[in-house]
Amino acid sequence: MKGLLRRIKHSSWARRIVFPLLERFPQLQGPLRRLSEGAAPARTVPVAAMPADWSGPLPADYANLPEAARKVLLDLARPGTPER
Amino acid sequence: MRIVIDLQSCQHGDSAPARASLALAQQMVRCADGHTPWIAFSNRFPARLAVLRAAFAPLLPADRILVYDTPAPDGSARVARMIELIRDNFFAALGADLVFAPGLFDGPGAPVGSMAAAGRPFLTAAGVAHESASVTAGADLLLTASPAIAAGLRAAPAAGRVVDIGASLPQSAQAAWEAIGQLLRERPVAQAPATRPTLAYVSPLLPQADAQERLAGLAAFYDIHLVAPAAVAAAGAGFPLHDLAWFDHNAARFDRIVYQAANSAAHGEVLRLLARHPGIVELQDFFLGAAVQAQHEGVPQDLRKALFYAHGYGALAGHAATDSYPLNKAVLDAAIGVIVHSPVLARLADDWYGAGSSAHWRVLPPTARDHADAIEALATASPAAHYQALLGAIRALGPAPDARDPALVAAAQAIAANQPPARPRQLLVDVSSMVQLDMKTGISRVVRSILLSLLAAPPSGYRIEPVYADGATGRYRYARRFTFALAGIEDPGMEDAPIGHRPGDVFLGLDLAPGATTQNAALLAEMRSHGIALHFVVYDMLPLLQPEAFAYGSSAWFQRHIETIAREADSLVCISRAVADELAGWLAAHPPQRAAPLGIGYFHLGADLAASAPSTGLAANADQLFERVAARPTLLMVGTVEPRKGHEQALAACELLWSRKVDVNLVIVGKPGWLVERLIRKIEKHPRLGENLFWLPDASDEMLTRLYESCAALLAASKGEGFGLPLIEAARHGLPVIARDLPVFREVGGEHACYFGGGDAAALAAAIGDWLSLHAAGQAPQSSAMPWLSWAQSARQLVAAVLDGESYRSVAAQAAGR
Repeated sequence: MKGLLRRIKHSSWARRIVFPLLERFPQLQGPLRRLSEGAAPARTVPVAAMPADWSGPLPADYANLPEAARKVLLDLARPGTPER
Repeated sequence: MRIVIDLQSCQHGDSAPARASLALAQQMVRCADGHTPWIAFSNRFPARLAVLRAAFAPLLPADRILVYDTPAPDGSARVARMIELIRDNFFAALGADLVFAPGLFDGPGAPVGSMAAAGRPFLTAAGVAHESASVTAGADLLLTASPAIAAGLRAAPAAGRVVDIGASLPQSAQAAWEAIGQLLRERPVAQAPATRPTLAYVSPLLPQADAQERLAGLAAFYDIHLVAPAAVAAAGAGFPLHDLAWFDHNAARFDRIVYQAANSAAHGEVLRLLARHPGIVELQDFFLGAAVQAQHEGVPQDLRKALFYAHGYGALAGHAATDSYPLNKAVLDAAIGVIVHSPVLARLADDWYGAGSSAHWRVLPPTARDHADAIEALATASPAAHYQALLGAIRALGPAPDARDPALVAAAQAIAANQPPARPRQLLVDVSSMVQLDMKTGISRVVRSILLSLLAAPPSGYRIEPVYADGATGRYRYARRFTFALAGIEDPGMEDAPIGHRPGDVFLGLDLAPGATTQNAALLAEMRSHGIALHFVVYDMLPLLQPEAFAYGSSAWFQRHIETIAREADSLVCISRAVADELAGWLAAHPPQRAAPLGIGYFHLGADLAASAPSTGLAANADQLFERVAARPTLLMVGTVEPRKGHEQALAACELLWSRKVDVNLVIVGKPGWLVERLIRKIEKHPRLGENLFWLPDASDEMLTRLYESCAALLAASKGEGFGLPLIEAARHGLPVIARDLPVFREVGGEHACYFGGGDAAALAAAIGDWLSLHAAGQAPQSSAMPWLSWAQSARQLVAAVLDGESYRSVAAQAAGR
């Protein structure tokens, strides 16, 4: 895979095919780069997204929420939060 | 008075009633004598947002035109009520004295009752006669455009005040203001609570004499309880005492909570409670490093995260000490309100986080009455207080909250999107291509250098946040892992979270990422409608102006990119005046469909290699190469080997010179590009290769610097460039420049270069021959005086072009714009 990707990078005909594909689907660039570097595919849900002070359930796409929305969601869902 | 005009009725289409409502609102803004009008739109109907925003752009500052988010209705009464609460809260947090919704009943829109029920007068204008009285009953004032409609409304049961303002402008706008003014004057004054509120005063220490005195004064207005660590609490004081653990379980018993925050380790424990039980912070010190360090004692990574949260990348760079930074942002953000002991602290907040950071703060008043008023104002009317009230109201709708509940998730997203502008503002710098793949091109060098300069010296009031388009999820994410690696900072374990944004933030498309930008056009439009200014750097127009020099399809992708950014951006900033002219020329022939004018600015690139994370190392044959370079005049070409760079013409010209026994070298520095297989084969098999001809496809920056210092001249034969950075890099090393006569080279090189024309080998050979003669006679033009910028200066020029809003040129709005 690594050799193939290097060949693609230096080949005009492959650039004509592969680069348009990468432009159209930029989400492929990261995984391909990591594959070319011999790394394992990235985790889909980063551990860093897990809230430190939360033990309850989380929605499946929690990691795809902006941090401000995550905070509001936990504020809404936190049991026993005082209301004044 | 702060009057918010909710124009969601105008968002459904260009109907006659919508035009009438828009015209009324515009005229009211023009003649808002004594009032401060704001304009609000709903995110639910985005189609005409850009046009409507543009309609008010000449009348109001951009930060007084807002879009509020509400979740999509799902048909349930619970979500419908959530929508009402969230919208109502948006207006409340804005500090609206009154919300005016002209034409609300002319098209689909939310019912009015909730807002009136919340105590804020809610008005509407013409065209209500066909609606049922039950819908309009919640409004405190109904404005109509005809006596007949007014009579019908007055006959309806439970109708509020009805005023016929007529249908002719500007008289009807004036009449509307008069009716609103009368309503506000007659509004009943809020009543004081029937019972004395309870107040918890949380401090790690028993109050000192001055604080004791203040609390004694406040005791006239509150039932005060002191909360302190167990050992302190045991010591006793003049009020009921509780320890921190007791308070943690009983905080909900108190109507008001006041935390004392000062810079001592003892306050760390108190600050932990603030995050769980929001309250008012009495800030005694601006710098809270010692308290925050105590809060994160034993977990250094958490302290580094706190430092990053408060002060960004710069605070984690080098060996900056935590006590160099206030480290109080988390405390200030968690507080419902802030009371400071000195106005100096408020000024410090504005200095550290940007003007307006302390807008809602109060300075400790001298009297107990004023002190209590300040606490009440913060606890009931600050944006954070409204937020807490909204959380409580949504929870009260039931059932037991569950974070997996889609309705709750949608509500959380809308509430987060509605939060008021934050300080410091974010300068979101798009580095999408660099994050995925560093192609080591000229553009990646610019992106690296500008980004590092911005991180080292952010513009005042802004926090630099590199971001990238995440194709998998269709959103932008913070590029934290990339940025920590680029800046050489140890990553404290931050996540590349999806970006959040507030009105007033700025998005700068620094990187060239055509696919990602085009795919995210709708997202960019949504960001712009929410008050985020969008700016993109344009490096060149070459794929459109010289399509034959690029691989098949490049022109089409690039055109989509230019069309997208020309349609969605506030301004485009080019890397030279020449590119700005080319862009303006192209847009004149391909006008973007947009509602507001498009600004076009330009800046110049920097040229100090040291500031662009230079690569090091010399080529294996460096000694032999430099020996040959020293032996005879050497022309240096710098840039990727691709058709437009003119390598073919330069090589042919040198071949002509060599055939005439002219003693000259040609050194080509640049990796192989596209559409040049034949040329590369020719170079690799050239009989002069290694003698007079050298090609370094992988030269490091260190190697390039040595060549700049050793060669006789830079040969800039490119047929099209965005800037021409090698000219300046050469000039910095005193290397004379022979450049093609292009507008951009004239702009960069001025009188400090020698220019040539003609596209064939003979013309260039003649120019080189002439230059060699001048060189031999010591009369060749010198480049040393060519003006150049450092990358830090270049970044400042870019920031000025983006944030100061001064355009070199502009493209007019199109009537059919969105």
